[in-house]
Amino acid sequence: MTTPLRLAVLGLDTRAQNLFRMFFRGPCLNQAVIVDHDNDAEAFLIDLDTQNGAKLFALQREKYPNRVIIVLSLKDQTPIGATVFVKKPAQAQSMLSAIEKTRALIKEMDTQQALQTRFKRAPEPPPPPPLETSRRRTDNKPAPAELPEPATQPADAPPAMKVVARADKEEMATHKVAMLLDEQSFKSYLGYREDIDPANPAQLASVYYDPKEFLQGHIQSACKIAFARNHPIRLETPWKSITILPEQGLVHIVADEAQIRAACGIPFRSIIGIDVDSPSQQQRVSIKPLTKSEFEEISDSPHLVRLDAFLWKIALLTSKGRIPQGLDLQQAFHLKNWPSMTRMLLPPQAMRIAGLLTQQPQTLFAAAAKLGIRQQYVFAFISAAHALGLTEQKPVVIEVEEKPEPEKPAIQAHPERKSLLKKILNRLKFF
Amino acid sequence: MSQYNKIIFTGPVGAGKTTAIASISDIPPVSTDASATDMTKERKASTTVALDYGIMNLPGGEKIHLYGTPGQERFDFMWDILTNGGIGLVLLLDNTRADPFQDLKFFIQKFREFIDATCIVIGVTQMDLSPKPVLEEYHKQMEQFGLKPPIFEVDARSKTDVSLLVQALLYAIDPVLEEK
Repeated sequence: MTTPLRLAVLGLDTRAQNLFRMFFRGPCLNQAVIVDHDNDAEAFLIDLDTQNGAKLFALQREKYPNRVIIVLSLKDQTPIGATVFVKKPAQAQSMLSAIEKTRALIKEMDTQQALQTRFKRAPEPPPPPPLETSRRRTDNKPAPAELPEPATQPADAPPAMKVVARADKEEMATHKVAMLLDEQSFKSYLGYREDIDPANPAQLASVYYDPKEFLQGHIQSACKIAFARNHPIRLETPWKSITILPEQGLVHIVADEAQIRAACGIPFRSIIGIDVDSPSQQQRVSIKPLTKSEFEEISDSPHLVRLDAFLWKIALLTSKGRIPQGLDLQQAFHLKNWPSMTRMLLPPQAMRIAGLLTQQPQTLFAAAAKLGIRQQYVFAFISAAHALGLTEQKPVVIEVEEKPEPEKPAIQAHPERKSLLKKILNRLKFF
Repeated sequence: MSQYNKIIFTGPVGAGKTTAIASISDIPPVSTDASATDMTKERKASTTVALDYGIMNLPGGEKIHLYGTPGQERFDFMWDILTNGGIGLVLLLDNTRADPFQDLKFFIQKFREFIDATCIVIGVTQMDLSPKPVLEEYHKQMEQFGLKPPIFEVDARSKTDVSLLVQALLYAIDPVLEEK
C-alpha cells in the first residue's frame, strides 16, 4: 500500500483543514495526509485565492525552494518548477493526479540532490528535512469514506464549531402559511361523501358540480379578464368586493376565513339573495377596471393575499370533494407541477396525491385505491389543482395498470428504508 | 452499504440552509459559520465555510442527520462525501440573487447523480422581498432537466415550511408511504 503523501496546508483555517483531512481520507483514498508542521511535510498545499494566498506562496517558495507546492485556484495557473496546479473546485480525480505528480517531482528532486551530494565537495546549504526518514513514518490508518459525525470528531482535531442560536421559529403572517386540514377538520368544514362506484352512472353524476353556480365561477371569470387585459380589475358583488391584481399575483378581499368558507359552500345566488340570471339583477354583479387611485388605496393593504392560494382555497371549499363539470373521471389525470404547498390550504393526504399524480397519470379512482384513501380527498385536491391549471387529462389507454410502477426501486427493494421514511414523516408531522 | 440516514441541504450563500436545519433539528444545530473573507461577504455577514449539522431524533433511537453543504466554491469536493448515504436533496434558492436560475442550474448539475439516485425538492426563499421569478418559471427551468420536483416558497425560519418541504421530499420518493 502506498504511504500517504504528507502535506502541510497553508493559509487555511482549522475548519478548512479538517475538510481537506476528510477529503484526503475519503475520496482521495488516503493517498495524502495533512501534517501540522512544515518540517514533517513532503509538500505543501496552498489556496492561491485566499487573501494572502499569493504572498504565502512566494514566501514558502523562498523558504523551501526544493519542496513541491500544490496550488489550488479557480483560475488556471501555469505550474513553474516544483509546483502542481489543481483547479477548484477540487475533485478527487484531479487531486489524486496532483498527488501522483507531486510524488514524481519529489522523487526526481531527491535523485538530483543525491547526485549533487555525491559529486560536490563544497558544503551545501542546510539540509532539507529528512524526507526519507519521515516518509517511512506512516499515518495511514484507514478511514471510512463517509463523513464522520461532527459530534464524534476526535478531540485532538476538533473542527472549530460553535453552537448557533436556534432560528427564530415565529410563524409568518397567518395568511401566508399553509393550513392543513386533517380528516376531522375536513369532515367538519366540508362534509362527508361516500366513495362512489365508477361503473354506476347515477353515482358518477352525483359527484359533479358546476363552479359557475358558485362564487368560484365568478372569481375565475374575473381572473380570466384581469389576465387577458393584464390590468387590475374589481369584481363587485352585494356580498364583497374582490380585487384581482394579475401583475402582482395578488387578490384583495376583506373577509375572514369563516366568511369565505360560508360563501363558497352555497350557490352564489343564495349568498346575495338575487337572481344573477335576471337582467335586472345582473348590474349588481359587475367587473370593472381598477383606477390608479383605487389601486394605490389597496397596494399596502393587509388584506392582500396570494392569488394562487386564494383560487386554490375557493375551489377546494366549493368542491367539498366533488369534481368540476368538464373533467372526465374515466380518464387518467396527471399533475403538471406540484403546487406551492407551503402557502395552500391542504386537504388530507395532499402530499401523497401530488406525489402519485406527478409521477404517473392515472384515474382518480385508481389513485384513491392505491393510496388507500377516500375518493373525496382526491377529488377535492384535483378540483383545487384544476383551478390553478395544474392538471391535464390523458386518454385512458395509458392507464396505470398496464405500466410498471415508476417508484424508486431503492425504496421498493429496502423495506427498512421505507420504515425509516415513515418514521421521519411521523416526526415531521409534529411541527 | 452506507447508512441511509442523511438529508442534505444545499444552495448558494445566504439561501437559508443553516436556518432551515435549525428549524427542524432536535438539537441546537452545530455550525461552522465564520466571518466571510471573500466574495460572499457582500451577501451575508458570515457564511458557512464547512458544514452545518443537525439531528432529528426518531422513535427507537434512530437519528436522521441533517447536513448543510458548504456555501463556498472551494469546498464542493465535500459534496460527494456528504451525499453518500443521503436520503434526498433539499435545494434552497434565494430569489433576491441576481440570477437564481443560474444557481439552480449549477446545483442541479453538481448534484445530478445524487438527484437521479434519490429525489430533490426545491425551496425558494426571500420571495416576500423579491416575488419574481415566480415558481412557475422555476418549474419551466426544471423541465430542461427532465425533472418535476416539488418547488415551494419557503421561509427558512418557519418550521412548518421546512417540515412541509422535507415531507414533500419523502412523498416524492415514495407517494404510497403512509404515516403510521
